[in-house]
Amino acid sequence: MEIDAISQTYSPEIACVILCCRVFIKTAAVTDLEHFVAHGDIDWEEVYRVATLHRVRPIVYRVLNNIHLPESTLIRFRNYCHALSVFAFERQIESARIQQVLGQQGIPVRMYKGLDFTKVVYGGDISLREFTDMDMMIAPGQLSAMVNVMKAEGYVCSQVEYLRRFPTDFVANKKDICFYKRSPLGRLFGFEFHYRPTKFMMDQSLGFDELLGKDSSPFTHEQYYRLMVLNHGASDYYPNLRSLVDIVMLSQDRVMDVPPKLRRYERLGKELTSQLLNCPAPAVPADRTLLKCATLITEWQLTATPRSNWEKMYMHIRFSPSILHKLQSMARAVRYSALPNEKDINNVQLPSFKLYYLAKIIRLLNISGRFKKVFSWS
Amino acid sequence: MNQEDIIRRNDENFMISHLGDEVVLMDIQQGHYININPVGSVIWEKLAAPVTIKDLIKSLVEEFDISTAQCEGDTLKFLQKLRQHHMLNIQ
Repeated sequence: MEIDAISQTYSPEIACVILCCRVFIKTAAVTDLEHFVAHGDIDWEEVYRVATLHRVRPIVYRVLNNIHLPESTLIRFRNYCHALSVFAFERQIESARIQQVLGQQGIPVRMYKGLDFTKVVYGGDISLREFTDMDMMIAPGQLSAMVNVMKAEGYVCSQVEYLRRFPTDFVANKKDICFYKRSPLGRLFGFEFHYRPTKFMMDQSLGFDELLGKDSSPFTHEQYYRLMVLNHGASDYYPNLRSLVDIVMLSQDRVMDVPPKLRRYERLGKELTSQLLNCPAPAVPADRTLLKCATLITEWQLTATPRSNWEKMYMHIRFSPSILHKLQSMARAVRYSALPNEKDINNVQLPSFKLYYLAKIIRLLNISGRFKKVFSWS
Repeated sequence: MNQEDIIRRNDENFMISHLGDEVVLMDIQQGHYININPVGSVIWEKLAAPVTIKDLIKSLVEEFDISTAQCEGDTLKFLQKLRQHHMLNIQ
């Protein structure tokens, strides 16, 4: 899509953010950006807001800083990026410490995504990509031991009771377990321990071994490419510009391959990077469903619309290639919606996991809340 | 330090981030943050490969169009600071 067309149809601000991403991945020239900025009426606060929603503030700042705008224009970007750098450093140190503590207890974990991904793919600069949690891979059999260590380190987790009481259901229904702690400076450290790469709504046959192999050396671009096609594509349907920039950074000037089950998601990514980031048009033809989904996602990206869990579920159904697959996805969505979660298990003590399906219905209908309301009113 | 010394930055114990024209570093062992301003960042980049102090000053004079005396004074002060923070190797 042409930048001028994006600017006129949507807004100059989203056009500016997209152009910055294009300059960053070298599918547009700095002079294009200089020309656009000089001739457009741009609201820089809005550029910041759009870049925040697309999680590309460091990229936008890096690019805009090179065209020498007035310092006041970019002050919010600068402050954010400075804070991100400091926080990235602290997270890096805490990740290494936790990895070491767990290793000493005989619990092997491996850092991936987040910090490690940025180091491998963004030229070693850990503040060039927005991230929130620190991700680690762990074997499901090590979860209970890891929980004890993390609790001893002062981390809290709302899912501990669920895992302790129903470990088989937990592992079958969830893909990770999350821990949080405030640092002495008040920052929130978050760790996600993943024992599977796929969410409940997805095809469960792809594991870490199929994506990454069993090699324990540092992750390569090829391994991360497969992982990110699954993560950004098959799981989240490319939710923002950061996900597309990631894919381009991994695959630009390289020949990549993904498992057959991920090929449609890879093709979807190529369609989106072609439309939004001006990457070469994909050579492989696409089916109608895929192209319609690409149009919908493009619209979401251009209007910077965050997607709810329901919309993600809808995308799983809509992207399915056949009626049979759509029906399977719908059945999975119904099962997922009915699944109890840690809120239900923490709320009330029931003897069996199956009873929590009922507890979830009660919670969602807020039956107890209505009783309380009636009682206090009377 | 004298003009013939060959110097190079020591970034082994630091995590580094580039913020526009600036460089932010964290000393992994001490836990200190160091912010290098845009001019300091230019010097920091030039120190990626070994260089004599004399050649460094010469290239800065050409780049910033300032007097050799001023450049020499400011650069040596900056290099002293790098040295204090163990960010400089001198051969």
